[in-house]
Amino acid sequence: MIVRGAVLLLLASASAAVADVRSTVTLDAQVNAASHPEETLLLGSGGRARLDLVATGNRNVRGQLSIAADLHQPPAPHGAAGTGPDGLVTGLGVERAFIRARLPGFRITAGKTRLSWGRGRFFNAGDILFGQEPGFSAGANEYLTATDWLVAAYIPLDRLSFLETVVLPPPLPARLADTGAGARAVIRVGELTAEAGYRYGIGPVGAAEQEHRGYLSLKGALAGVDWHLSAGSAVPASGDADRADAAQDRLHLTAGGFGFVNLGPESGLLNMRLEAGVRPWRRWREQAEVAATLDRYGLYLFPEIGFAPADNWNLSLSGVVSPIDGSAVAAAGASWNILQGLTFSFHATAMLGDEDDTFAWDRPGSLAAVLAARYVFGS
Amino acid sequence: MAHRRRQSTARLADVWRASPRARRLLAGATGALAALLAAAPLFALTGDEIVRRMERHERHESVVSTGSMQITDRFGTRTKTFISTALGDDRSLLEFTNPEEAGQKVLRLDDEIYLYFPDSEDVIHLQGAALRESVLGSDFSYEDMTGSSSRLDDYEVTLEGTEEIDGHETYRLRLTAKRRDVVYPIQVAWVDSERFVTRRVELFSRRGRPLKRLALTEFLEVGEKVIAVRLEMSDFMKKDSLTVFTIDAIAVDDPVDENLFSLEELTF
Repeated sequence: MIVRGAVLLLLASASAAVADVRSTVTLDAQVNAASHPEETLLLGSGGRARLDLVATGNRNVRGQLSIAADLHQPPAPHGAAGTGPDGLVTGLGVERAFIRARLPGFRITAGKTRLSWGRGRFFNAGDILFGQEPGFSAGANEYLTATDWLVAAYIPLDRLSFLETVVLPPPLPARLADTGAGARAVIRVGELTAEAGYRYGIGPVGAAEQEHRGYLSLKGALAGVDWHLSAGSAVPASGDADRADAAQDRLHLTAGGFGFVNLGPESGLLNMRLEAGVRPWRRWREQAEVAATLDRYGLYLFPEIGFAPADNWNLSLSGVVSPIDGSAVAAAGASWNILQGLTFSFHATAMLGDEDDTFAWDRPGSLAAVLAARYVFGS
Repeated sequence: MAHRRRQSTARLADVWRASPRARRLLAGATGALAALLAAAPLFALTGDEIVRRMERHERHESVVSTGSMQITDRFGTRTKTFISTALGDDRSLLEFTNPEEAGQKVLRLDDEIYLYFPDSEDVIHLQGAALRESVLGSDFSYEDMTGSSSRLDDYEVTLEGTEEIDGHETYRLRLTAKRRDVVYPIQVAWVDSERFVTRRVELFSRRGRPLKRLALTEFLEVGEKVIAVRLEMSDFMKKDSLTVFTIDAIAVDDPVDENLFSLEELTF
């Protein structure tokens, strides 16, 4: 009797626990084709599965676990023998694992997640926590999505203003001295939102030195256009380097605008975005050397246009333009949400530029096309 | 005065007893009078007054609801589910709960909208005209979903007469936009003349071309209010297209925590 009671109690607990968890599975599958200077065509395929489990049972506590598995067949020349199962590239990772709890006067977040500091979809000088160098990807929903292990406290000042502090555990091999820390304040002043932040810690990926990073950001709206401006820089925390020179060299300014144009109920919705990344102390004249990174010249632009002619259709045109060397990567695509959770998409990308430009027509993948399907389901 | 009223009543009773023809005439006259009396309020009200009475059922101190939006086209049906909390006309929080958009939230504060995307932990701030944009490709705007501003702010209202809709006597109102930035420049609404709930709305372009039809087919009495819990939007431009908005549970005018309408709650 006692055993049966315990089993019933266990079953009841389990069913309650299941009811309080929102699970979502996202499956992606794609085939891609890309140009290669020495081969006519490279063909590849791949897939990705992501499982998100989110606790929803307690209004003051949230937990999330997101695990993703990747499987890719590397691009191979058209007609070549396949690499077989041994040639598949696989990966399994924890994308997010965090707990967030609301306590009197503040809330705390601990685990692997993302804090979105600053403003910008592609260029964001305020992203000093992750310092992610954006990579252009046709059809990407989001560009700045890097996550890391952290502990953060969020202290609301009013409904639109807050302070946030963060501690970033040291990377492996762990040394206490490599622990990072930072804080930001977001203040609403009239129609403007002002944001200022600071971080002390290890520099960008691959760096080994501690540095001080800071940023300022402003956001507002003017004539139906939402705009943002950010300025960020960094200086080494120690060493003999001239800090003023370092601050100049690392100075990054970003700006952007986003607006809708409603073409009427019969025509659809057009949305437009333009962002600029400016590094005033970098090169403003074209140099004859090959470097495909977006910190070589003083100015890069990210234009994006989306058009939704119907409920479930989206057309997009986006790219990155390097005005100084006259090169660009451009992508055009379409997505179609044909059934519940099921979306088909097609994107084509082209690089335009000479061989020593930021983007060049003769690099591998300078012409590429991706046909993809995504299915999202859950409970 | 009271004596005279009693006399008149006695005289009427005498006539009633005396003559069948008089009884028929009196019955006819009484029926006509009753019809006139019943019809009088139909014409005594102005269009603005009808809208005000209608909005007593549609505008609330607070609303907490869960529901779904089913978008049907020739390929099938897609369902989006949500939890919505609103306080007054200008504060609301909407959270999508269907797997495809799970965790996406929309916070409305006055004329501003904050969109939260959990994947990027990012907040997008929209102002002004963005309120009138479509929510997740549906036939409903953020304003429809998150607010309840008065139609009298945006439209001139004309009472065009009465019509029967689905067996209910209704007022037929024509609403003409006062400004050019209103999504639907002309609306024709049929408002139940007894319960003052909207039964049907047709939406037109500025040139008078029919665009969409909204039919309110199921209602729920919550206290003294009658609330539509099933709305069907069909698009004249798209064959076999239908968006059905259903409220599964609703609480009206209950106390709501004001802290819900903050960036802290949006990004939790």
